[in-house]
Amino acid sequence: MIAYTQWTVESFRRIEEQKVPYVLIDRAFLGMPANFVGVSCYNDPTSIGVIDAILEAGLRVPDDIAVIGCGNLHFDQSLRVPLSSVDQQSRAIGERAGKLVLSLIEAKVPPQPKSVMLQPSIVPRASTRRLP
Amino acid sequence: MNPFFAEVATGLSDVLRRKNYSLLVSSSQGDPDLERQESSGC
Repeated sequence: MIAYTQWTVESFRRIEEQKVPYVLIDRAFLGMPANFVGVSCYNDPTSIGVIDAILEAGLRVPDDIAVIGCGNLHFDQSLRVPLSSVDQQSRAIGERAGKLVLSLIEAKVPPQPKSVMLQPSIVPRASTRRLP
Repeated sequence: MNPFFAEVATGLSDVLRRKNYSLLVSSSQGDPDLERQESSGC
């Protein structure tokens, strides 16, 4: 379901410039049939670039290539192709961090470090489809 | 800035404000020198 690309310093910089979607799509289609059905992006702004590149290449989302992002941003529903996304509970992460900070400030003795894991969920929209 | 951090900062400041703390945010872009410079004003 997922197209992997090799992460290098160069490709990381290209993400920051929002150019990586084009690199990824070019690499996937140069001289070979598409052997994947979807692209999973590490955040929603990158997904937007990927969808633009797919549509500009004359392909359809999600019929030819599905796209899913991460972050479930408030505008995902309003995009040209409404974006499926992983809701990682960003705001709740901040609230939990705030409570931890307060407990650190108020603690008489330094508390032990601890990890808190919040359960993410998938919010399906039009950019992905259920495979037969 | 990645929008993820904007949402985290919103949740963080909501909780801190209730206890009369305020949140100051700066971005070091992963650069240790910049991080040192940004935090030296605290």
